[in-house]
Amino acid sequence: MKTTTITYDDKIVRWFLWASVAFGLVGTLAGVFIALELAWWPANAARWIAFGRLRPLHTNAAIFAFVGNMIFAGVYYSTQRLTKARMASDLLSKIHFWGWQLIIVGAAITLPLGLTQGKEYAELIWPIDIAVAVIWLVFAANFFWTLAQRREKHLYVALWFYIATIVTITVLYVVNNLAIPVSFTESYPVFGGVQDALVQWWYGHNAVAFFLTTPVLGIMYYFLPKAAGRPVFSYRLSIVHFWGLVFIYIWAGPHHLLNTALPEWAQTVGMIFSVMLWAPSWGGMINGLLTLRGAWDKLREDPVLKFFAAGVTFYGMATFEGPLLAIRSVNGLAHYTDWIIGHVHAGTLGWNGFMAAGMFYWLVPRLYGRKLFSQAAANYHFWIGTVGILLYVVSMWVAGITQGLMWRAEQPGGGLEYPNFIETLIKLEPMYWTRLVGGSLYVIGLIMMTWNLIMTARLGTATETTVEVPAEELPKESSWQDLLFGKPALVSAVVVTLMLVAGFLDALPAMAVIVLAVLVAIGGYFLTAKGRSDDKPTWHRMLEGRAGAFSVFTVIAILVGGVAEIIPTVITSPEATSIQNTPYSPLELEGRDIYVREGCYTCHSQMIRTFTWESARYGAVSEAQDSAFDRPFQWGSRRIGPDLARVGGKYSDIWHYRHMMDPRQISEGSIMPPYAFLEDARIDADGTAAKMRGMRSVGVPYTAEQIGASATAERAQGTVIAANLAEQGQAGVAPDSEMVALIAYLQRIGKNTTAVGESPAAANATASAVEGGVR
Amino acid sequence: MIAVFAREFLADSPAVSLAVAALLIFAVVFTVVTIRALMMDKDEIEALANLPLEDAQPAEAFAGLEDDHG
Repeated sequence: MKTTTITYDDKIVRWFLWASVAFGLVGTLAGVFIALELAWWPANAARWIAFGRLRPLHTNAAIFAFVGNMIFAGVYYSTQRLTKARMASDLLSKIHFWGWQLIIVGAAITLPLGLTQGKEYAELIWPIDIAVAVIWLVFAANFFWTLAQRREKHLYVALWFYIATIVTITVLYVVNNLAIPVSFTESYPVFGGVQDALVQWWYGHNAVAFFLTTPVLGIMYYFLPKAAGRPVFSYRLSIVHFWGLVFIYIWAGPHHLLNTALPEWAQTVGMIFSVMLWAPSWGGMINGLLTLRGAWDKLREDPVLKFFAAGVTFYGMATFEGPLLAIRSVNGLAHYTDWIIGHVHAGTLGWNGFMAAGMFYWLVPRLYGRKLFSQAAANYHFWIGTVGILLYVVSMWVAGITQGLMWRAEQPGGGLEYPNFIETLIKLEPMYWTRLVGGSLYVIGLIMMTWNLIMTARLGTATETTVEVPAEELPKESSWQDLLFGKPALVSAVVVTLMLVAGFLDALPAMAVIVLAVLVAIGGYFLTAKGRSDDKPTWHRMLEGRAGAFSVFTVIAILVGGVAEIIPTVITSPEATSIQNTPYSPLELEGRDIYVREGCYTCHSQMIRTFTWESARYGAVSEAQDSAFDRPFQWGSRRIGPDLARVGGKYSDIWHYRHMMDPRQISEGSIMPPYAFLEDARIDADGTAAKMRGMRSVGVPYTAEQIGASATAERAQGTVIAANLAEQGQAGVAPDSEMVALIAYLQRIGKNTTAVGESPAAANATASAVEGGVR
Repeated sequence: MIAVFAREFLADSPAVSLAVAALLIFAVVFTVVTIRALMMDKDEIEALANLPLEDAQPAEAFAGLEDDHG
């Protein structure tokens, strides 16, 4: 066999690796700081570092900077070796690296400034979103170009997971960030209310699935066998694991919206598929752990295997807990509590963080041509990190279950046992300090790892791997026709069609058609097997050999679930049919933007779920139409403060003013940061019209007159609120202050329903006419 | 009977049938993939599983890492 010599591009691997190490420290330190802010509110010392602004920075840094760079390091290293080809373009690799780091820097600057889209893990503003999409496509182009130049015909299962990651993240990121820009830093999503909620959590959940999970599973399938020195336990299981995971994961998003105003059927579908996820997830975990069969003794000495084994175990724990939390009754207790925070950190710190550490400890000695500087330090890192994670997770479990039980506790004679929300929060304080200790231990472990890796690199020399690979071209790929009209594809299409037909028939004919479908499936199998010969590849083998076709099938797999959930919700959403809602007034719109800017959704929900204890505490159960004009929706995912879905009119303007100036003046024991700076900040009334035009372009029924008179309406409503404040004892608050705008919005939340039959425009005019009347 | 269930299920919107179609597609694909995985040739499976171990990495130099410092 003729061979040729190639040198792998390991420089790019080193770059991404060190970026991941650096941003891992930054992201986790930000996490420790915001944990301190929850335990000790004075740490919210300035608006730029307040919890609401830093929490998105922490999550984005952990996901996209730490894990993102780690994924790219692993993908670049393993893809070259699995394809026996250098990355197709060094230039694209460099653009990818520097572009990604610039995006991270952009996020680090904009998020503390309050420039945000207000959707979890999708906070980055639209110019950065475009940059993410472009750089992601650069990565995709380089990856698929490399696959096209590969010298190994077979696509190892790790590459399948990378393909799934690339195509799915592209779809998710683009759809969830579809927005109408109204300025260079602001935009409104094209989806609103319940639609936005479904699309956001379709994205949000699958950011976890296809950014934090599938690429790391690919890394597991490559690096774990390398570290253990033996092949994966069951390659068959890895095939089932891949297709099961890819097909099922995409459906599970609605489990973030259980017991809310999301249509019942979507909630049920989300719950069922989440529970189904148990099977492929645990299949993957078992496959990973059993790869270590016969090598368990190495765990005593080898920190790499320790981290991998623990990482895979945390994957199993988190993917057991996830479906459990997706069961509606369990979710009723856990949602909006710290239990969810504990769950996601078991995944990110345990699964992602430990897999990253294992990979780094394995890679750096090989990338620098020497042994790890200190194996003992790596082992200490493992134990310190493990204790840190356990302290974190257990404290959050206790905090979550405690608060969930307190929210629903009722007195024997009726009524809430703990009617004051603060009571349920104060109980959590010890757990917040424990979480801080756990998180700090984890960061100490990361610092030890950083030192260890730097010392290894300093004492070693950056190496390049040069290998002999086959020189001849790969055999010609099978044609599209062979794939599309192959027997398995045709038989599957017939079976699906028959099953669909059965759904629309009465019992007896339906049963006959189902039996026919089963017979076709069985007959099809034997037909396929009969035509098989050794010199002709099977259909699935043809598919696995064609990266492009494989990618198309993966896209279909992920679109099947997403489309099936999103299209019905879009078609039947209240926004398309409701005439009961009144759009926000110009001042309320400005106030809402301030609410989004300050990240109020990171602590306050706007969704009263279908439980009596929720209605008793917050008011009538939220309906889809309540948030029909909310772009972005602000249902939230955690209640560190109370729900605000019906806070409008509940308190006086002066209550809100004092609460914002000093929360503890109103609510003793509150951990909310003060927002006194809002009194001095001014809204830009000239920019409101552009915002209203943007809203109108996505369907919010503002009239041209309302838009034209927005500045006047703002001043009028602001003057009324300022007068109210003066009357109630606080004179001198400027009508155009951000404080007044935020009060206007808060007083409006949950009060947007007008008389049935009244047109939105007329209702808005009515609302404008009575501005201040209810405040 | 099934038709009655279907009518009730689709009362909100016929588009909900997409979810049923998607579920069926998933079930069929999953079954096919599972059968395919189980029927794969043993030698082929071994060859695929060993792909990560094929590269010319000088792995032994780093295996059984000895501690330089502590």
